[in-house]
Amino acid sequence: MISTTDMQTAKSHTATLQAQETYAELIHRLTRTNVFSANAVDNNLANSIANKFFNCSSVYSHVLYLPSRTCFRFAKPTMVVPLFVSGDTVIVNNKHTIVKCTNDSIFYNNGLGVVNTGAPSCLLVSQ
Amino acid sequence: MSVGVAVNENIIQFDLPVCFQQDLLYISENYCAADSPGMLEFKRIGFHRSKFDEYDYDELYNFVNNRLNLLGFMLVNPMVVYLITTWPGQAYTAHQDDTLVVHVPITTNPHCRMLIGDNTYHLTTDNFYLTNTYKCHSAFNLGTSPRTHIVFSAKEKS
Repeated sequence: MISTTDMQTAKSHTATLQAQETYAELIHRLTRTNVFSANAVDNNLANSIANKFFNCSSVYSHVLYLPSRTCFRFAKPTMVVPLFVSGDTVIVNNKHTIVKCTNDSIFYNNGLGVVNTGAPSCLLVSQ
Repeated sequence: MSVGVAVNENIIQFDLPVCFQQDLLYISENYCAADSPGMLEFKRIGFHRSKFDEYDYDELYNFVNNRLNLLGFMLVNPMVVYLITTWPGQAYTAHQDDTLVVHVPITTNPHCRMLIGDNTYHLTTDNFYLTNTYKCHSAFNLGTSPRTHIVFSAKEKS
């Protein structure tokens, strides 16, 4: 006889597997798409980060997918939160100094550029 | 006569005389990267490398080679002259080369940079540059117009 606890564990396990599949599918889809794409997302998270770290507010946010060998420059003051990046992604500011774009960093400046010299990357971008 | 200005260990900048700048203007007005068969190569590896045969590179080659000789470098092969185009929004995969590379910018914009090691450099059309491509390097174009350079392979004089 299967106990209630076992059922809950099984459900939880199934949910985890489904979540993993969904995440894997998402990455698979993103990395196979050989075009630049930006999808609008909820602004709450970006707004919280902007308030906490830069004492400013975010008006709208996008998830930006950058394929390999592409780059993009933002004309307005922009906050960039790396979601998944390889070690080959760099951030260029308007004075053309560069910073390695790593998952534990958040960037905010006017005229930021994101340069992808390696694997595809995904960034939360808000203005 | 100024020989060249070493910006740092990654790059040496040389003055390009006005007569060559006019030649480069002729190339930029007559060369259309989009029509070049090199587009196939661009799609394959990210480099749009092609040739423009309506210009005689001998004079430019000899001038560049003489300048390099003064600093103990030389061009590798006079027959290997390529034009490389970086499109707006394009970046090269970071890589290392077997030779040094001389860049002669033909068209550029202020948002084009070459990344060598941890530094970036903007290469302007009134100069040519010997770049240390033994180091990991890349280039990117954050502007809105294409960047086209003539490139020569170079090495240290033995």
